[in-house]
Amino acid sequence: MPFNSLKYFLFLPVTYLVFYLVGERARWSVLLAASLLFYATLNVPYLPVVLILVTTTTYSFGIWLDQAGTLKAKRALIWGGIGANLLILIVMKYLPFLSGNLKELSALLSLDAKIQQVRIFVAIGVSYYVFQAISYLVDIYLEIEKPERHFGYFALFLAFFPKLLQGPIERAGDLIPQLRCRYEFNYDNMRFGMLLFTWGLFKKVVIADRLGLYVDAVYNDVHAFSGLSLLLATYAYAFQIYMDFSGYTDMALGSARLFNIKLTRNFNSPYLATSVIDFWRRWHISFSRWILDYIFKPLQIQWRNWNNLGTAGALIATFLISGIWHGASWGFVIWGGLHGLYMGCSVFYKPYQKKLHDALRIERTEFLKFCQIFVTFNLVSLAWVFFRASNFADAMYVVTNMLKGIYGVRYFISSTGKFNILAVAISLVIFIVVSYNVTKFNFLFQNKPLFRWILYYALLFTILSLGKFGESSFLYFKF
Amino acid sequence: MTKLLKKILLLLPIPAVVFATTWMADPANIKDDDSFETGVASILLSGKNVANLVNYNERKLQKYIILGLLKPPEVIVLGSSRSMGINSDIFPNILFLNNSVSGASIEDYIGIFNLYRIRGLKPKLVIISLDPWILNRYNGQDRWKYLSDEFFEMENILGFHSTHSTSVQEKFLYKIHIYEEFLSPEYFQQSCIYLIQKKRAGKIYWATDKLQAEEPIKIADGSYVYAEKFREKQVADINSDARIYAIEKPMYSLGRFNELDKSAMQLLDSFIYYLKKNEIKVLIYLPPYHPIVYEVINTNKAYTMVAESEKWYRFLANKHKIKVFGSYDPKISNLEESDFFDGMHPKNQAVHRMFGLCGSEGDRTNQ
Repeated sequence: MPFNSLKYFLFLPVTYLVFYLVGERARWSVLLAASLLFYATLNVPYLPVVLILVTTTTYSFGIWLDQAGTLKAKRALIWGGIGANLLILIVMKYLPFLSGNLKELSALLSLDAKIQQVRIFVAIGVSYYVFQAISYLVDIYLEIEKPERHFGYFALFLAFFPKLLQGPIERAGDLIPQLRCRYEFNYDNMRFGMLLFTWGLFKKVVIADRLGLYVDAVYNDVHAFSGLSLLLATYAYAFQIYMDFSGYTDMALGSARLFNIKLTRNFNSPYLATSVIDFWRRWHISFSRWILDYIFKPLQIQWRNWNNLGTAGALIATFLISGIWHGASWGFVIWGGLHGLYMGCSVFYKPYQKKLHDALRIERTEFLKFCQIFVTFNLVSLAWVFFRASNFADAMYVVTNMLKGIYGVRYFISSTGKFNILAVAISLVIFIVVSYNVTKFNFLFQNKPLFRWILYYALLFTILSLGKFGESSFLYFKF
Repeated sequence: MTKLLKKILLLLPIPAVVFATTWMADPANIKDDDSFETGVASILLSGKNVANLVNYNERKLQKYIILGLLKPPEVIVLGSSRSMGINSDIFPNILFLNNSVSGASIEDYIGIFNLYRIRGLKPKLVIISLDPWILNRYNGQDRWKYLSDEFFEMENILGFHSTHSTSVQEKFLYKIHIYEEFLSPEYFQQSCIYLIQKKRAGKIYWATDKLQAEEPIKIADGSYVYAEKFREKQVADINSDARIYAIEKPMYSLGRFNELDKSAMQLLDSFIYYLKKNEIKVLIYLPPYHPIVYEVINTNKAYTMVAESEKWYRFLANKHKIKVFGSYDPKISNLEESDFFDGMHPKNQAVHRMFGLCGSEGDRTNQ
């Protein structure tokens, strides 16, 4: 049941209605039941097994960690809890990747090892709830949080339907108190939630899905294109994945807001970042915070004696792990590795960069900012090639050919029809106007009901008339 | 809460506008109004062709054509849009009618054939064009439900009772599904485009003697000639369309095609057995896919059942001693990229080449 489906448009208000009508004590159970129903509609047979395993394991380890008397016991328990969660993740998601690579390696070394190719059991959402489970255990270990004793609230913390499949990755300290909070109807929250949901829907069905038509046309058969078509498709993908993922997040945040729950903001104009480090402060923020706190910082502390080399190494290692987290394929590993490399290198050139800017007297100028945004966007887009391409050979073809000529541009642009060109152009203009005028709109929302309603209608009719409807899942669904 | 409910009521004009637009335009003519299809059928039965015929209930049109036939055709074609290029030129001097309907499933073949049976018309040769999705339980095709009475009756005659729920239920669900369309955003978009085009064109469809024109033409023999723009595309544009078709996820009606549907296999087997028993000759046609599309089908694990279905159709043909024309593989069918309109529709000339020998096959229907 994706957020952009008719089923979800019925599911959400019905869930809210039941949630509103039942007594305070039963509200958590309504949300938990709705979350389970939400997953049941995904028809992924092993998903309930994984959910039950992760939930019970993490819940138990959380309680034991709190009860452990010695540091040694605590250490054993934290590694046990993390190990158990990672084991579930590996078995459910990474076993096919590992077995496939081992098989190839054994063939390469002419070893007669009989390695069976294994299929993926669960791919949807598993990375998200395992990461949440690990952060919960680490926070208890570091005594930042106390364990949640109520199994229902704990299960709901992991399974809360708006955020589980694609995040945001929530910390127990942020979410559980909100789940426990007494619900009172709040009109502003409802209005904001619905608006955010509609805005997310616009980004998804009007911009992302229409851009996707161009991207798919090229990336599913890259050898039929060259030069500018490849470059344009790569740029289109950069915006498609942003609109798709941030659209989903808006819809998740909007859905949660109906229940007075504020989820973490996950995006902040990432393509206006002035460096790759800045990009990660603005892109998938909850995930960046997670890997920063739970992977980068421990590694940096561990390798602190190596100074800059240690920091660069920690960055590269962190983003390689981030790549693997995104998916079991070499494309994701290279994508993560590239981001790690960008940031690892910046550790060394940062001091010289500042000196250069000062010498050229361009520090803090709009020109420098523009150049930095341009370079960062292109570096990020280059990495997206490995994220999107079907395989390594295709990615290398795109990278090595994207600046060669303009063959196929006409087909690239006209392939999806005039209506699509028009829809993409109009929707991008609307997106830019709204993004740059949020504060002005806020002012109008507060003061001019008639104008506000004209805008509501305009947004809804834009979605209805320009949106691409039909079966389309979100790009980040597979993580 | 009251304030919220009041505000939500303010949003009601949106579904109301959507419904009013789709109801008024109804580009696919899904309202239960027979005048459109009866009008088209009477033109076709008079021997004239119909220009600019798009978005209509193809099953309903077939029903009115067959009900209005004065003489039984000697050769008929049962198939999908992929077989609409088979025309009377392949069978000169023989009464020929192509009864193909878009997105056809096995239920369509049986339902349409039953219309002939009910009227007591018996063709001498039936060309069955078989698409792979016929054997895909999850092909998503439900347009046959317009002919559910005819299908269920014939299904009983063939000795089957259990493949579907009762006709009344099917019809009711079909009606609900049809009326859902009036609130669907896709249909709203189509309706808006239709209203703009209608305002420009002035006329919806008209009778013509032309065999091809700027607009699409439904020929009196039941075959279909695409609009000029679509027909006269450059190879690069055809390939571009094929690429877009190939990357559709899933490819048209081939989603979740993990096994061959046994009930559809049995039904098809029995249908062919019935035709042969009633001394009706049968030919099987396997319409080829565009080379780019077939390459994807051939290499993508999700579509392994396409080759399996062709294998089974050939086995079935062998069992009933039926001649097979074409293959999903364009190489086997000796077709190139330029022989297609898009990813799945071979051009009429290409179909003629494949049926090259069929004149003699047709001649034999006169024996």
